[in-house]
Amino acid sequence: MTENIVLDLFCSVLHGLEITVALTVLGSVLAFICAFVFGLGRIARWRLIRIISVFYIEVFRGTSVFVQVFWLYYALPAFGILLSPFLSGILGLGLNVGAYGAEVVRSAIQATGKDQYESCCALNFTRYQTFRYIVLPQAFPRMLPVFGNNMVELMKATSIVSLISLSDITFQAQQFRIRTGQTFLPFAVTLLVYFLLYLGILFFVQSVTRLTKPKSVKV
Amino acid sequence: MSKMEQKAVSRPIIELSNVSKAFNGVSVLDNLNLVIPKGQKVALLGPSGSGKTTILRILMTLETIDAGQVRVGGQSMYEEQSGVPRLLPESQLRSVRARIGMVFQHFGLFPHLTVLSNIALPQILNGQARKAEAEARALDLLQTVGLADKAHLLPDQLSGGQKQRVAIARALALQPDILLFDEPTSALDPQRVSEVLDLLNVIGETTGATMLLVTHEMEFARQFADRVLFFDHGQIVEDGAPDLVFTNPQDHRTRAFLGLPARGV
Amino acid sequence: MGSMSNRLRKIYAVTVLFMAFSVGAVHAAQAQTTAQVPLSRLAQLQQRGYVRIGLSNEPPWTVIDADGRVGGVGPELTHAVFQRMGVPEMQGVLSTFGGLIPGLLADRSDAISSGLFIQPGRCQAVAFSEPDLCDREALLMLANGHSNPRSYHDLAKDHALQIGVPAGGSEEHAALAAGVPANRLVPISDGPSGMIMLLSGRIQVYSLPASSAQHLVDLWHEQKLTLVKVEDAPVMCAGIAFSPRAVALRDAYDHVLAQLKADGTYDRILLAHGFDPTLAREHTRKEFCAGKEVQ
Ligand SMILES: Nc1ncnc2c1ncn2[C@@H]1O[C@H](COP(=O)(O)OP(=O)(O)O)[C@@H](O)[C@H]1O
Ligand SMILES: [Mg+2]
Repeated sequence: MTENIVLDLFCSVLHGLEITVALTVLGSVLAFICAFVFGLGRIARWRLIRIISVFYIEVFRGTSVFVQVFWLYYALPAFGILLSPFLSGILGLGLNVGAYGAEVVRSAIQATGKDQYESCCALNFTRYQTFRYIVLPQAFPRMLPVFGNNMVELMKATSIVSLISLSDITFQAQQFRIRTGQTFLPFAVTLLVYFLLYLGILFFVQSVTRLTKPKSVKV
Repeated sequence: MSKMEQKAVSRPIIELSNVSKAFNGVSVLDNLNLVIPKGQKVALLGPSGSGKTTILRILMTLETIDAGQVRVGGQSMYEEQSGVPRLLPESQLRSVRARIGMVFQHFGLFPHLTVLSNIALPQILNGQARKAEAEARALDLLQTVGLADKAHLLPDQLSGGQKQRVAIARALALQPDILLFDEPTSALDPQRVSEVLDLLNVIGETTGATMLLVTHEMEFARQFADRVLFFDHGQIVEDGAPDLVFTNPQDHRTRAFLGLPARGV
Repeated sequence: MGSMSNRLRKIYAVTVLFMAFSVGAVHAAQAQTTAQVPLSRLAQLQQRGYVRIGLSNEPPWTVIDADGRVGGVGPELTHAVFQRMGVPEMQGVLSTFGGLIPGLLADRSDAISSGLFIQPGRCQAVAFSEPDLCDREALLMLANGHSNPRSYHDLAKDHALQIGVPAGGSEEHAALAAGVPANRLVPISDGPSGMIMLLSGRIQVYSLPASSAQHLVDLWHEQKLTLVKVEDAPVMCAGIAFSPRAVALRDAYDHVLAQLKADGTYDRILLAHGFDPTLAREHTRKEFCAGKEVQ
C-alpha cells in the first residue's frame, strides 16, 4: 500500500516535472527573445517600433500573467484562434516575463557611459560595431542577475497552467492528493522539487555570468 | 622662410571658417576662424570654459556647429541646408573620422576588453588589420608606451597614467593624420603626469601627425608646441609661436592668465 | 540612446515581418477550416476518431492516475456511448472543476463527463444529456460531534456550524435554499482539503455527494466519521454537458445512452463502480432543468 503510494507519487512528480521544466525552459527562451526585441525596440530610432514596444511592455506588465494565460486559452478561441494548452502556457509566461525583461535590457543598455559612445566615435566605429562590440558586451552581464530573478519568477508562475489543463507538478500533486487523500507528502515533495529547480536556475545563471565576465590573463 | 616656401610645406589640414556654437542659447564659439597646417603641433590654452574642448569635439564630430564650415584635409564636414550647416551623412563622415584620433581626459578605455584588445579591436573593426596582425601591432605600441607587460590586464587593473598611455596607444594604432588631446594629464596624480608628457614628446617627434593639445601644463606646452593658441570666452585672443606668446603676450587677458603684470599703455 | 545601425534595423524589419506573417498564417489557417463544407459535429468526431472529454479529478466519478490515464464510472460510461456512436477513442482534457465549463465553451473539449449535476443555472450555459449518474447529497462529520444534523434545515438552525461545500457545486444552492446563511458556507476546492478542514475543526460539517463522501470515508478509514444522507434534499443527477451549439450531438448521445440503458451495458458499468443504476431511470433532464434548457 505505502509502496504503491510512493511509486504513484514518484510517477506523478516525474510527469509533472517534465511539463514544468519544459514550460520554464521554453518560456524563458521566448522571454529572452522578447526582452531583446522589445527592449531594443523601446530605444530604437523608429518611432513606430518604439510605440509598438512600449505598448507591448506596458500591456503585459500591467496585467496579471494569470489573466493573460486565461485569455490565450479561453478567450482567443472566440476569435477562431485555438492554441494548444502548451503553446498558450509558453506564450503567456514568455510574453509576460519578456515584458519585464525588455525593461531590463533597456536600462542595462542605457546604463552604458557616454564616454564609451564617444570613444567609439573617435575610433570610427559604425553604430552596429559600437553596439555589438562595446555596448552589448558591457550591458549583457548587467542584465544577467535580473534575468535570473525573472527566470525564477517564471518557473514559479508555471503552476498557473493547471488552469488550462496542463499537468505540471502542482497539478499532479493536487491530483495525487485527491486520489490518495495524502496531503503532507505531495506538498513536501513539490516544495522540494521547486526549490531544486530554483537552485538549478541559480547555477545556470552563475555559470553564464562567469562566462561573460571580462577575463584578464596574467602572462 | 619666404611666403612661397611656407605655402609649399604647410597645406592646411584643418580649417574652421566662421564657426559659431551655442549651448542652450549661450554662445560658446562666436564666428571663429582657425587654419592649422599639416604637421603642426598646436597647444590650446586658456581658462576653463573658454571653448577649447568644444573645438576638439567639433573636429571629432561629437558636437555639431550652428554656423560656418569645418574642413579636414580639404573635405567639408557640413553641407548647407536652408542656411544651416548640417553634418554630412554617417557614411561620408567615416572617411573624415578615419583621419582623426582623440585622447580624452578620462581615457574612455573599454572596461570589458584587455589592454591588448582595446588597441587591437579598433584596427580590426576599421578593416586595417586581421586579428593576428592587429595584436602584433598593438604589442609594438604597448612596447612604445612602456606597457608591454600589461597587455593582458583589464583597464581597471592599471593606474591612471598607465590607462592614459593605453588610450594614446589605441589612438595611434589607427595611424591618424590628426591627434586631438583633451587635457590628457589633468585626471592624473601629479607624480604620474610626466610619464604621459614624456610620451607626447616621443609621439611629437616620431609620427609627424598634426597635434592639437589642450593642457594646463604651461611649461610643457612651451617646449612641445610649434604654435600656441590662447582662448578666452570662445575667442582666440593670442596666436603665435610659444616663446612669443609666453614672454610677450599682446592681449591683457593672456597676460593675466600667465600671471604677467599688465602693460602700461 | 538610439544607437541602431542599418543592420539592426534590418533585423527588426525581419522580426516584425515574421510576426505579421505568423498572425497572417493563423488567420489563413482559420479561414481554411471555416471554408470547408460544414460537417455535422458527430461526423467530424467520427472522422477525427476521438472525442475530447473535459474532466476533473472527482473520485469516484472520475479518477485520474499518475500517468494521466482516465478512469471512473463517468468516463467509462461516456466512452462506451461514444464508441457505440462510432467514435472509438476518448481523450481526457484535465482541468479543475471550475475550469470545465469555460473549457467546453472555449472549444477545448467536446463534452464534459465529470459528475456535473444537472441544474437550472447550468442548463442555461450548456446542453445536458439525459441523467446518467445520480446521487444523494450527504453530510460528513466527525463521529464525536456535538450536534447531529440530518438535513440542510438542521444546518440552518445550528448557528455554531461552519459548513464546507464544494466550490462551484450544487450543495451551496441547496443549503442557501434551506436558509443557511452564506457566511457559514465555506467553499472547498477538493476532497482532501475538506477532510483536513473537518479534522482540524475549521468546519464541522462537509456537505458533498454521497459517493464522493463515501470515497473520503474509505480513504480516512482510521478516522471515526459519520456519513448522513441528507433527508430534505432531492436526488441529484449528473449528465454529460455539451456546448449549446452542439444540441444535435447531444441528441445523438441521448439516443445511444437510451440504447445502453436498455441492453444492460449501462447497468453493468454502474454496478461495477458501486452506483445504483435504477436512480437515473426515475428522472429526466427536463425535470432538473426546470424549463431553463438551451434549445
Ligand atoms: N554639452 C554641453 N551642454 C551645455 N553647455 C556646455 C556643454 N559643453 C560645454 N558647455 C559649455 O560650453 C563652454 C565651453 O566649454 P568647453 O569647451 O568644455 O571649455 P574648456 O574645455 O575650454 O574648459 C562652457 O561654458 C561649458 O559650460
Ligand atoms: Mg575642457
